[in-house]
Amino acid sequence: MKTITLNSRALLYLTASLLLTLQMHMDRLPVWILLAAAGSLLWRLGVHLGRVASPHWSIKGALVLLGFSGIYLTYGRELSIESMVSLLVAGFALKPLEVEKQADSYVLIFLCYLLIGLHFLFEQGPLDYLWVMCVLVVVLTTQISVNQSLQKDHEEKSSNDVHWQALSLFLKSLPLAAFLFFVLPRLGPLWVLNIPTQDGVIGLSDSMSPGQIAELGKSDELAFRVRFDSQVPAMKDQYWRALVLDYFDGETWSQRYQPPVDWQPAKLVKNGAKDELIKYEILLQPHDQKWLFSLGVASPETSGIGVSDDARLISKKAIHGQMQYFATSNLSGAMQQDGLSALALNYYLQLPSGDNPRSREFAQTLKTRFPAISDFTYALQRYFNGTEFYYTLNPGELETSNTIDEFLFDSRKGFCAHYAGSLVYLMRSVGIPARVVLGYLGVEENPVANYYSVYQYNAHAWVEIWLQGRGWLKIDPTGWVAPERIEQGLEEAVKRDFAGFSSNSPWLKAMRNQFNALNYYWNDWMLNYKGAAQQQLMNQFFGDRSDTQLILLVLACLFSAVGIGFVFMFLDVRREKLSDEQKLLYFYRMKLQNFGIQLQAGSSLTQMSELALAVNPHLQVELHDIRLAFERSLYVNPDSRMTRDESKALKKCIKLMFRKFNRPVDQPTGQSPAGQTSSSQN
Amino acid sequence: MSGIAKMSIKQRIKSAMSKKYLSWMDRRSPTSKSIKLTQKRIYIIPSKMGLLFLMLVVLMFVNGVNYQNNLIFSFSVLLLSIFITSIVVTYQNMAGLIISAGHGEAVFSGKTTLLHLVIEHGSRKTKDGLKLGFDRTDSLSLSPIKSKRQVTLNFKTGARGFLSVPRITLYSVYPLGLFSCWTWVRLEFEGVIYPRPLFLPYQYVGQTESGEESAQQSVSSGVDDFRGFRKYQAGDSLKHVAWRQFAKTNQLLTKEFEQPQAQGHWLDWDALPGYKTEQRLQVICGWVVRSHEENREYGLALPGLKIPAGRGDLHQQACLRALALHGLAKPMVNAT
Repeated sequence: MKTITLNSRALLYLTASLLLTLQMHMDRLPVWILLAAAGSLLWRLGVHLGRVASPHWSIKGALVLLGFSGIYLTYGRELSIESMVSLLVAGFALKPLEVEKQADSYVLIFLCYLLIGLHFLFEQGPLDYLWVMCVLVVVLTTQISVNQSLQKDHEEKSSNDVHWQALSLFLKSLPLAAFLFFVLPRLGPLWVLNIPTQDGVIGLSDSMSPGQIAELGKSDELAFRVRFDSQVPAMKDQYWRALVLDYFDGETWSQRYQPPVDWQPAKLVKNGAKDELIKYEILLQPHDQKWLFSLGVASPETSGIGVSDDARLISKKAIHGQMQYFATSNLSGAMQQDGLSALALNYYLQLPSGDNPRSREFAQTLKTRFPAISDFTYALQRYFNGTEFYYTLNPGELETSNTIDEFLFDSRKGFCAHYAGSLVYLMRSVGIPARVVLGYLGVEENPVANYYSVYQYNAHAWVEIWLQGRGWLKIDPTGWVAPERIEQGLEEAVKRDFAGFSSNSPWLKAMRNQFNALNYYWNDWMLNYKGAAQQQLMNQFFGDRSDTQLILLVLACLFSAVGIGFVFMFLDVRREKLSDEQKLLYFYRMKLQNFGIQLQAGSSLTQMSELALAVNPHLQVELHDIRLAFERSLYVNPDSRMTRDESKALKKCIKLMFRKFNRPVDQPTGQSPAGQTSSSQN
Repeated sequence: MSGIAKMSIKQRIKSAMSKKYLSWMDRRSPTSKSIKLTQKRIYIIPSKMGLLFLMLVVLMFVNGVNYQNNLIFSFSVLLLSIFITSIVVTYQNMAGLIISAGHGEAVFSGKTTLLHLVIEHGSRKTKDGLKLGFDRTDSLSLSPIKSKRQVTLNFKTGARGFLSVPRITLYSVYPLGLFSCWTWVRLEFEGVIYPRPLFLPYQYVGQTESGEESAQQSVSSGVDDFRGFRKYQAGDSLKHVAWRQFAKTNQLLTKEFEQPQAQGHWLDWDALPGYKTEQRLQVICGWVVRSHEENREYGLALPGLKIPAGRGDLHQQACLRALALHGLAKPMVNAT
């Protein structure tokens, strides 16, 4: 193999590709990799300019070892997508030092392709896709340029339009790519891969300490999108249940009880007039967890989802990618009307012993005054209503170990988690089974695309208490304190805390809606176009067929498409392409024949004009000029072909002449065409 | 021992196969003056880098499938599509080219000649990244061809006679280097190869020592005998151009010398009995070269062909051509 001699342009493109690729992964890479990449790139450029020698193999070996240990030190032994990509990038960063043979520069380029593709492991938005496509074109340009540089012995021999060549290649391959994307069946994972991302996913967690949800309240990341088949439920019914917390350790609520899950849940049916069935489709952002979101009592319409005993939807596998599911909910359905198991009861009455004495005493007193549970609840509501409680995203730290006492009687500033936690505590302390429910409250409409978004700041915690004969009932103590939170959403409720929480400018709002709609369609069509969605579209195109038929049909389409493509390719070669002047000559001949001049198949230009002259001697000058123009471009110098403008001018000239052709000979001509002819030859 | 024998058998089979293949190739592409490249002649296979690229596509695909990531899947499909599209692009870059053989410059056998070719095409797209040569590793890279380009190729000549050029390879890995695309063309170049000159003393039929002396003398006196100027004609030796006059009058004149009267400077086939044909031709060729250098008047006598005495570049070319084509079946073009 020859040692490498890349010309400066190829080297420039190569550097650009490298930098763009690194830029893509920049925010998830440790700094030292970026420094190593910059260093190795500079060294490489130095070698190219002849300033420094290429590194000895021992130095390269040492660098590789350093890279490995650096990865190990940064990420530890645990395998994650980030550490794998970092390892790849580290190798990629050091590769320029090692580019000596022709194949090495290709390997570098191929690594670019690989790394920009792996960007999709982390980012999947439409803008990310666009950006990756742009970088792809740059890398393609690099490959063309490098290939050219390796093949040519002189720089000046390479053509200068490599970027157009790359762009044209890219555009030409888009239709086939789109076709393949739509028809190729998606396989299931070839082997089980359970490498989690280390990127902390923002969202609910299965424990709740005061202040945690308040943090979520500041995040405007998307949690999921929902599209309702029927009417949209009222705001008071938009409680998206995700988690049920049963265990309190004095500070934090968490999930201890693992209720049984029914993996073949029965479909919901409308029993009474009171029942209100709502169907909806949810597009879930990956949250690396198994819980799903649903309203009220729900049953899934997508396989792989079960219903737990506490009426939540649960996915069989953790959700690492975009996921889409359908569900039906009964908003007024009762949960566990028939009774609680002793085990469940145990969990739902659990409290740490001997803490929060003031709260316990307060609840006991109230319960003795209002023995009926409904009265007791109402009394509590009045208490929360009548006391100075503040609903705020910045409640401040609770300092003592008796957190409930401190909140209820001292600080009285809290977010939904504080209210929900205290209410469950009060309920349990008087023997009423109660639990904290975590989820989201409310939806935001996107008018552009007819769907609703739920953001992290919609996160909410509320309470369910169990009544004999009625099952679990929803109570939201936040509504007692800040009814606007339930009626108008978080923004209204915490206006004080956030002046610029979201801009009120209608123009910005419209922009945001447009962009969100784009995102939505993107998710619907690009990210989730697999499995059922693909099957559905295929069926629309090809009718309802079995899988094997479908696959055969798709293959047939594919092969015929490729076949037609190749036939066109060959036809393109076989068809003689006429140059402009040849077409023009043909036009000229046809015109002459139309005017009654008998031409032989092989008549020369001179013969043609002589025959024409015999018919109409008046046109001697024009005929002569046209003949000269043809001869000059066709026969004299093949390199001086007619330009577009010239051939257009000549065509005009020919037309002009034939217009005069039929005129009586003695009529004076209006305008000298000779001047026009000569101008056409310039 | 047996290993060596096996090897040799293997090699023999290999060489026999390649011979058979090449002769099949030759039958597929007989020589002609001008060849248009169509799908019959263009061969295209993935290069090593192409196979590596395919591995990359598979890797991307597996990534997309295993992470159930539709975007990575689409990216792998896009790369695959680029791979397939580049077949077409690579092919189209070469298809439709017309390669025409011009002439090869006449040289002595064993010397390097220049072959003139014309490569042209009627397509609007510039043809890029083409390499031309007898061998893929040692080929000439051509700059992008808009519509027509003249190319000269160095060729080390073989035996004397008509110029016969082995198959020429036109090769390209444009645009991405993923596919190598090539064609073999066998072109018929106009041109002859003169015998390699062998420089021996002159010999004449039935010569005497004195005869040669006198002949030499008469010629040498002839050179000295300046007679006057005449207008330059094509074919006159540049040695005899009156450069001083040219500088003064800007007119090309040829110095004329007294013609040596000796008619007997014949370079004769029969003067070399006992030599084999090729050797004879080589010796006579040497004589022609020397006579020309010495500006003698000489004639050539070969079996069945006589070129009357004369001098000058054209005369020399005619003689050399006669020598080159001696005994070859193709009728000689009338030398003038």
